[in-house]
Amino acid sequence: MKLTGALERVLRVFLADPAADRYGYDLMKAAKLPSGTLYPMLARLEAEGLVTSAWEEPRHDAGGRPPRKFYKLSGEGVRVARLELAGASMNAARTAGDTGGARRPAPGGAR
Amino acid sequence: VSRGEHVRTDGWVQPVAVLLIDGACRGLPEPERTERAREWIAEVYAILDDRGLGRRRRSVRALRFAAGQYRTVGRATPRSAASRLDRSKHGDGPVLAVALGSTLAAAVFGGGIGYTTKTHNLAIDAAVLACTTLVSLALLAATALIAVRLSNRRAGSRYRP
Repeated sequence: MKLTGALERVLRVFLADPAADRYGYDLMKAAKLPSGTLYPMLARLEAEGLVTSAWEEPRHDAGGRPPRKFYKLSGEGVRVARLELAGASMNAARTAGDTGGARRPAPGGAR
Repeated sequence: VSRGEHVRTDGWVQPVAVLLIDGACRGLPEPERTERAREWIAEVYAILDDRGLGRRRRSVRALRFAAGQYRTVGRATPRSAASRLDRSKHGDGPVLAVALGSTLAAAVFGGGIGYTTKTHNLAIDAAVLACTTLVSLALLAATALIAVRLSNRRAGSRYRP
């Protein structure tokens, strides 16, 4: 799994409450992603077994609204997502450290 | 905002959005087509029911979401556009229509050019060229329309929610 910025945002939304059922529009709003990015990503994650989907149970009080499709991280998905995000955070910290070091002037360096 | 209100105020948005999703899903193979259409139409309802947004923003967002599914389908199935023109799947009709129409348009336009080279009247030449150009363009447009209709007819039954 290649962790892109968009994928990172989606995983963070899922991990905010791994037990919660999320539907597409909800994810689009939370991750601030267009549908053209989100749905192919969800399909990929589902094909890899990291996300599971299920149809909402039809409700009598839904006012004629059709049932929605919910997405949730699978057990493996939660594990992989946590690992990937932790790795990304470590890389970001390392990169920030390297960049900071390069920008810092050498002590006693000539002008 | 009651559930019934969006049905009244955004009454035209929902069918238009459904139509857009229906069109977008045509690029998908059948088992996935129905499921995706169901899912996205349900999302349109969810958007139109979003109480955090004003009526106009809900409508715009629902239509944008529905129109955006063309891009989603394009990304999910990169070969879908090519498969629409796959002759083994859709037959030779669209290809033949385009070939015939283009040939007719070229013949009409070429005839016009040929005619004007024989005359020595600038006004007649201009009029003949304008007419032949118009007829050629009309032929090409009709051809494109026929090809699209043939292609759509062969693309299978449309999903009706």
